[in-house]
Amino acid sequence: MNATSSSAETNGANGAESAAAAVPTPSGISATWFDGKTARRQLVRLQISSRTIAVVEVTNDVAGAEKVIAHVPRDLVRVSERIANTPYRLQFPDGALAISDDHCSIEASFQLSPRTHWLSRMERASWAVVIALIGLFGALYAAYEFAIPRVAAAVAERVPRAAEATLGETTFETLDGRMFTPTKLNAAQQSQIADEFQKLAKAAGLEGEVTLKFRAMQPNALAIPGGTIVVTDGLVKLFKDDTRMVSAVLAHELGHVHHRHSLKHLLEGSVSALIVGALAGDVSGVSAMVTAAPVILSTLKYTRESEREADQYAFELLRKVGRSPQDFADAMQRLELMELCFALQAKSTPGGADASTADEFDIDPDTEDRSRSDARKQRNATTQARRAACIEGLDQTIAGRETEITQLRKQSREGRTGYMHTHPVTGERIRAAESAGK
Amino acid sequence: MTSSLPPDLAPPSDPLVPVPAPAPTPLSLIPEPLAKPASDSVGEGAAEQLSEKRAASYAAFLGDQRAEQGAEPNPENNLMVLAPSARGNERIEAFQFTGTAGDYFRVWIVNTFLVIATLGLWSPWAKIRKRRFFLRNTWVAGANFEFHASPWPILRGRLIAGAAFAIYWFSGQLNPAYAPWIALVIALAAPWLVVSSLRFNLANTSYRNLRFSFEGKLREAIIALWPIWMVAISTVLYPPVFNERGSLARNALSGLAYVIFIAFYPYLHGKMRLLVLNHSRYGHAPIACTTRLRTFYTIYGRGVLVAIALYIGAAIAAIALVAPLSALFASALASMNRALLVVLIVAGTLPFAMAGLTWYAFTQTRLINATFNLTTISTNIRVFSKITTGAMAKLYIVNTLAVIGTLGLAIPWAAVRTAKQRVETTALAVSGDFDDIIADAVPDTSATADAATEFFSLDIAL
Ligand SMILES: [Zn+2]
Repeated sequence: MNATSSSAETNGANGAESAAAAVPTPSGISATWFDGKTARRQLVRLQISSRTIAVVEVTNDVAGAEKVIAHVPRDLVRVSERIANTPYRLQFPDGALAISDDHCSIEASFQLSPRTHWLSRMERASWAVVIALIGLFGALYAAYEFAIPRVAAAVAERVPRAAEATLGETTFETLDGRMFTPTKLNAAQQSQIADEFQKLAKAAGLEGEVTLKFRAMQPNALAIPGGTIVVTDGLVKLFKDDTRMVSAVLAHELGHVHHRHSLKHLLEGSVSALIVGALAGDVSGVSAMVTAAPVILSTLKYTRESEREADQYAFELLRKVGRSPQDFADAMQRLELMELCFALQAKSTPGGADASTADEFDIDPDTEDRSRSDARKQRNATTQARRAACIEGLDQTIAGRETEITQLRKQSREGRTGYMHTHPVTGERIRAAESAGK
Repeated sequence: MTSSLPPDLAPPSDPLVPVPAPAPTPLSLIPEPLAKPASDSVGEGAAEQLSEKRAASYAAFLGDQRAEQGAEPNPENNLMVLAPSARGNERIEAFQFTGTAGDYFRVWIVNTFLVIATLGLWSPWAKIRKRRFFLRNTWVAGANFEFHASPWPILRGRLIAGAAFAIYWFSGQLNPAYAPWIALVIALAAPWLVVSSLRFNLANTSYRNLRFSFEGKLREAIIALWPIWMVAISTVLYPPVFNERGSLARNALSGLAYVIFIAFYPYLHGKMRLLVLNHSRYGHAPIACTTRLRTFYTIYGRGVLVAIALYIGAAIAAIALVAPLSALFASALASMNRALLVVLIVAGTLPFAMAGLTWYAFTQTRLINATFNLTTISTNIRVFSKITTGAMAKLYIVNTLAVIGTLGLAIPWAAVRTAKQRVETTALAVSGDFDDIIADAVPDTSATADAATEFFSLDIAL
């Protein structure tokens, strides 16, 4: 349909924008009149002089007895700001309203043109639109890159640690019920690591603010809100009780605690969601994917940055206690080797991908004859065995397969993709640790 | 809800009596406005031109409706039968949306930039300007709408509501045990927030220089919203978290909140629409809607079947799309190629996103038609709506793809398209004219509750 037909109908002004209309004709500017007392619509002409406005009704009466509906001082009439090509609204002092899309005549009569509302001018000027476009993308980029992480960090550092305590407890309870099982490390192993931990915490100035807990799980270490750090049996086994490497990982986790990363991520996530929501809130019925995707992407970026920050902190801390960042490089390398071992095992087994990874993506490659849950159980058992071989007997498992490992490592580093769930292990991080260790 | 306000306010006639459709020939309607121009008549040639133009648009409007009616007579509610039949001395006034994507892009980009540049302080001005763009571009019977709110109270409201929201959010995040209690407080406040917000939005909307108003009382809002109290209470008593180690009875109770919510969802949605459509006035003229609650349950009942069909279809499509790539998927997993994995995951989820949008379009359009077509303003204006699921689903899918593909730059285009689609599938059947509708006192309103409903996403979308 013709986009302007309706507004043109309103007052029958044809070619309102044409140059001819720039000067009000003696007969006046055509407009539509609403008295504010009823919903009645009248077609009128506005006769605007330097002092007054007369509103004259348009009638079918050929005799032409003009009926003046209103006659008021011009200064008392308020003209609305203009939005795109919608008509001007002239608000009369007694509550009546005239609307007219004869923009040129209205602007000329009220001498609006030179000082039209600055906002309307910006919206109409191409340069302003271009600046807004560049400015918007620039501001969003600056927020994403600098403002959000810095403000979040500043706020997180100022919130007392006690505020996280309840969150930490709840998180720990949830993990305890689902992912952790009680540790099987003996007292000697535990106290050896606990001593190391105390030494690091003291050097970090976090003594009394952090607690260490042991739980059985795949190789990992976690910093939970509130200052609890969890070391898993898997990690200790993978490192063959090497305290140097365990300490390096603990130093990294202390980095998360020091920088208040859990709280910072909370803030970053919500501010990103708020901004995306404000931008996308203008349109309904767009899939939730649209708002979820940018938030997820920015979260990934902030997580990566936190890892880097915690790494840097670990390097410093290790030096402080007379260790070397090389320990961290060794630990990361060993974790990477384990990942590569998983991949190697999966590759050499017919059936392809690693079971637990496949389950995450809900892809079920072999359900033909057996029932689904049987197949899954079986696969899980095989995966557990394979994983155990890579964790507890890493060196034996990969013995003699160095070429394959080298090839896989090259592939995964190029894709920068080898990762554990919470800690991406990349060549980049290992190289950073190695160079810090020199 | 920004753009959709005007067509949502509307009136009906004898609604539940399935008019046996004397089916006036469409042509008999067209001369009506020409022959009896009422107060809307214009003088001379321009008027004739105008009327011809209008007559053509009525004809087009009615033509579409007849085609639809022929294809799918709906004997159950007689909604479609009722809709297209203008009666007696009625004339059809179709809604028109005159805004263009290009114009709105300018308004949107400049104001969005100002909002970001002022760290959000510009947002009340931006909100007003954007809503004015949509309302001023919405026309029916030779007049458009206007939004009157002033920015300062909105700013104040947003600051208050924003602070409350920050406290709510933070304490909920830092202490998950508080979250259900905070949700309960919000649920208890919801009827008041909804009433105040509706009062604010309607009182600040005008057509033909007469304001709308919302006269619903807290009591009516409580009747519409009490099920969310039940949901909030059962969330406090039985947190909806499945615990593998918990007893069967405990886990069954943890589903209680969901069960109540699902059971009452049609009630909530329906009652909210009826709350607006039955307790509002245009000037002095009451607006009334006679849709029965049963209708909403019928719609959502069908919605369940449609959802099942759509998701089965989406699953088949996803498999068809991803299966040929499964070899690729396995190798992506083996080589841990994350980029490839992301592409494959998106390919797998896209059909489900499209199914979700189609389902949304289905229930939304049914609800709009079922309520508007039984809505009257005063005694002489009836509302027609003939919005279709196919058109809305297509619109939503294209909008989603365009917004993703342009990194958000298509948002204004999508918003204008959506407004146009919704506005131009609505019409009024007017007998007599608007002259009898007189003004009413404009009530005092506060912007704070409106801001709060925005922050807490209490969806009062019409
Ligand atoms: Zn880390």
